[in-house]
Amino acid sequence: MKVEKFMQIRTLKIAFLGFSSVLLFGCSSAPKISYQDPNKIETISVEYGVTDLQMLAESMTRSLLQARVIMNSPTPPLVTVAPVKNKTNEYIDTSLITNKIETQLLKSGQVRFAVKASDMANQTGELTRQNSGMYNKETASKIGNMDGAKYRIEGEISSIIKADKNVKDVFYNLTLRLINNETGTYEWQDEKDIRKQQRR
Amino acid sequence: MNPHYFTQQIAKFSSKLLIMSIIVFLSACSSYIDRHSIKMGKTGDIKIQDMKSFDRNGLLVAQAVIKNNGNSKPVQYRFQWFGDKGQRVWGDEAWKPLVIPAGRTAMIEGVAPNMEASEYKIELDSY
Repeated sequence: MKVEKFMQIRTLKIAFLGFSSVLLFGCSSAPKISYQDPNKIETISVEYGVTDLQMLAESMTRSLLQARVIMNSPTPPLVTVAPVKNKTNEYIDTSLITNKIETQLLKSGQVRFAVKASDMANQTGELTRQNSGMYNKETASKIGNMDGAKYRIEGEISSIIKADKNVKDVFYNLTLRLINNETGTYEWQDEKDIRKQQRR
Repeated sequence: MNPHYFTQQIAKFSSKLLIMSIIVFLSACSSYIDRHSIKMGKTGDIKIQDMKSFDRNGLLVAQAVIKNNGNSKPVQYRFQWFGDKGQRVWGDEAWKPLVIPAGRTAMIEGVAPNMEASEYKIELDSY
C-alpha cells in the first residue's frame, strides 16, 4: 500500500512539473522583436526583396544621372514617371521602385518631376478648390499654368525562374528608359540584372 | 685609383634611387587605397588591387579592382561620398553583395549621387 501511495505521489509530482514547464516555456516563447539596419543585405528567401529594390533603384538612378540629356541640360529638365510594368510571376509593388528613383533623382538636384498621372486627381482637385471663388484670386494658383514634362521614365521588371528539387535559381531584370515626350525618341536606357540561388 | 670608380659609384647611386622611387611609388599607391577604403569583418583575404576616380559628365566615378585571395565567401560593399570640406554629401547607401570566386578579381564601380561629391571611400565587409 505504501509503495502504491508513493508511486501515486511521484506520478503527481512529475505531472505537476511537466505542466509547469509547459506553462513556463509557453510564456517565454513570445516573439523577439528587434530593429534592423534597412541597408543591410537581406537573404531570408530567394524571392524579390529589400536588397533587390535598393540595388535596382540605386543602379538606375546613378546611370540616369549620367545621361547626356540630363547632364547637358542648362536647367534641370522636367520629367514624369510612368508605372514600371511587373512582368514577373510574383507580386511586386513597383511603385516602391519608381518612388525610390524619383526621390534619389530629386535629391541629386539634376532633375525636376511633374505630377504623375496617378497623382493627377489630387493636383486638379487642389487647383479646382483654389479657383472655386473662396480664395484670394491674387494668391490662388491659376489654372492653365502646369508645366508639361519634357521626358518620361518607363520600363519593366521581368524574371526567369528555374528550379529542381535541390536548387531554385531566380533572375531579375529591370530595364528603364527615358523617352522624349514630344519626339518619342529614347534618350537613355539601361538595365540591371540580379541573380540569386537557393539550395536546400 | 680605380678608373671605373666614379662609374661604379654612379651606378650604385642610380640603383639606390630606383629602389627608393619604387618604394615611394608603392607606398603612395597603398596609402591612396588605405585613404579611400574601410575594411570590416572577415575581409582579410579580400585585397583592393587598384583604385581610381575620374569625372564623367560632371559626376565623380570611382572604380576598384578587388581580388579574393581566400575561399569564396559572401562580401558586401558600398560607397561613401564626401564634399570638398570632407562633409558627407549623401546618406548611407544600401550594402551590395559582391560575388568573387576564390583567386579571382572583380571590378566595382560607384557613381556619385550628386555633383557635390568630390571624394569617396569604399566600405568592404563580410556578411
